[in-house]
Amino acid sequence: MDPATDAAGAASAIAVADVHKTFRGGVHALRGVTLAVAPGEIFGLLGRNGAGKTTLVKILLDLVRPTRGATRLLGVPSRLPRARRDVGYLPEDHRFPDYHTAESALCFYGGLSGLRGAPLRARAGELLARFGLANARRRKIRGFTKGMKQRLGLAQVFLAEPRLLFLDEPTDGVDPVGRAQIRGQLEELKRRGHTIFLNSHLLSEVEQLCDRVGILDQGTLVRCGTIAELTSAGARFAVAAADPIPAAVVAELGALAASVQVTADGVEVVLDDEAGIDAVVDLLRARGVRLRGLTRRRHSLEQVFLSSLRDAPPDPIPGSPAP
Amino acid sequence: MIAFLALFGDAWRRARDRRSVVVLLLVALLVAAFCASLEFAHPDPRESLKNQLENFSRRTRRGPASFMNVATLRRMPRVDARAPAAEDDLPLGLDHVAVADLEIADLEDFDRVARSLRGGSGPGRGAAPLTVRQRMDAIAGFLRDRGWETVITRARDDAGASLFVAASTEHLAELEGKWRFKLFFGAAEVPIDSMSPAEVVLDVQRTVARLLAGVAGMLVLLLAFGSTLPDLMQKGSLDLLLARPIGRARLLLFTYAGAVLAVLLVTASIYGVCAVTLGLRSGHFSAAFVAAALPTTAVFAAVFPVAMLVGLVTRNGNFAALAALACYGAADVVASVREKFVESGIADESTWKPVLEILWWITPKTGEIATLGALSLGRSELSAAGFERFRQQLPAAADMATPYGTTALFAAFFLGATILLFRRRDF
Repeated sequence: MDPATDAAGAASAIAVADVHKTFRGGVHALRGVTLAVAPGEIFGLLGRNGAGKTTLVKILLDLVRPTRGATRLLGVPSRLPRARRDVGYLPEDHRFPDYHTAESALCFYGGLSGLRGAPLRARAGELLARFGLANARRRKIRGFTKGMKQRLGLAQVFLAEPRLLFLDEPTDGVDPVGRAQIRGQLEELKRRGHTIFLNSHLLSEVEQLCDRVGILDQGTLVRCGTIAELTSAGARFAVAAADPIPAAVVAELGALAASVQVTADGVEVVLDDEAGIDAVVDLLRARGVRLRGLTRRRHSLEQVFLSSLRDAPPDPIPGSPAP
Repeated sequence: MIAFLALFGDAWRRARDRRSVVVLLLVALLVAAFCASLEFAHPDPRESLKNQLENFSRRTRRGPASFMNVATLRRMPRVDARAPAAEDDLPLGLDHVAVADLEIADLEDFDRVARSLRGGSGPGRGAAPLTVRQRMDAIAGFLRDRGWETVITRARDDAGASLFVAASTEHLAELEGKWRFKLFFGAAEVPIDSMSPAEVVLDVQRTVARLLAGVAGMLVLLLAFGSTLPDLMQKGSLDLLLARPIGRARLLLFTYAGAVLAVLLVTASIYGVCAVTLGLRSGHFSAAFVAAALPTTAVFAAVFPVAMLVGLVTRNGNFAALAALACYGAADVVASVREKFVESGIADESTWKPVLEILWWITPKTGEIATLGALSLGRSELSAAGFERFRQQLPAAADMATPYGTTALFAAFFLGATILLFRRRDF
């Protein structure tokens, strides 16, 4: 598939096809990355520092030119300025010119996005109020705290009401209350059909927000899928019982499951097929075991992430294959 | 256009924040205060004529007292159709008429001075005497060079030893004469006898223009605006800019144009304040002085791309400004050396001549542009005769096209190189 050039790619919000980037000095930042993000999706990109996440975002925004490959934003080749007409971007280490006030900075960036006059000022005022900066609208940015700068950064992303947002560590430097507010904003955007490309080290945040996640390691996209797909641990179930399960019953379960493990509050069974859980429950009920809970086991995203790295720490997920 | 206005506003904010523009405006206020402190006393036409004739006399061996006897000196009222000139049948319609009767004591000495005025020292005693007509023309030419528009001379005797002179001008401010020019609200007084008030006003204007288009002014302007590109390119700041729907070439062009427009507005404001102040004090209002902001801005526009290119490579605003200033200085040096050695013919046989010529062609013509600016100021401020006299005081300027054309090419080359580099770079 060539997401950047085929029909599906043209319909994608983001399409990346076989993108390579080698910087001067021979550093291979990206090695043949291919992915597509559908409109209305929140896509999370994970990777260690130096994995190539920021380079990929910068290539998508034409800040960095790829050595090979093609990219499209909302169906337009990302080399063209018009590809960024409906795009908002929050860089990781963004820095506003400190001689601006919060309001003048928003008006400046709004002007570059083609907004002007009273509607621009009204929009800037509305965003400053939304991000809790209404009282600081006429203050110079050089006097802002890190959190205020981050909130201003987010405000500038939403200026032109973009359909596609690139957010690099959007909650970096923001207190827990602010983080919750930002998450709320992003969820609201998702409900309204905006596409979000999220770079974050906060796996819990990614897990809560993203529909799909890609894991980038040493310039290669090693895993990509929905959260459910990535964290799936197969047909592994934990059964909680009111009393300890007799050993004879456990032995009988062994005939139904691939493996059975006694736990503190019951047993954990691994089945060949998830439909087999019905037989397990039937057997336990038939033997008079009082059931208190049934949970499908999943890996944590952190476990998935760590297991995806080439030089991963030993055995983050027992029995997981090397990427 | 919206993006351009945004970048213009940003350039203005940056300059204001760096306080260089504040320094510039303070300097402008001081200049305006200086202009406000000037007092101009327009010369009396009769006194002017007397002074000029005395100046003529000083050139003779016997000096002013003995050579020429200004027998009578009268100021005539403006002559109009209803009051025909009675005095010596003067033509109608003359303004500010002054008349004098001259008795030439030593015709031979007079002829020697008259010949020297026409160029060269002239033959000494023993040369053929001038005709009466030539003597009258010599006096008339001498007076015209000092601001009189109409000079009528008549011989009162056959030998031409007794002359009647009537001189008039519509432009009293362009008349040279003995008058007083006061500075610092009258605290200092400068007696002037070889310049007209219009020339003094023009000189003050040119001094202000030299202040802004000179090294000091350029330094302040380049410090204020020269860091535009390095500031934009700071890590984290450029990402926010380049992620906008605007091409890199356009972003740079708008940044350049925004800074140039900001400089134009600053200089035009400074010139405007000075023009109004000078006008109020001298009675000589000059709208054209505000237009002198254009050549000053052209000089800035020529060297600013150097600051942009150096700023792009080094990302250091102060270094970029100094590099542009060095380029400005080098252009001045090249022009001076060329003027001395090539135009004077000294370097005709030298192997350095082609090098100097090439350097002159490729460097911005900041000096010539300033001269052209002064010329255009003089052209709009002075009468045709006054401008002709003013033009002779300036260094010979090339035609309009060469300095502006080659300077524009210089700026375009550096701007083009900056855009090319900026477009190819990863950020």
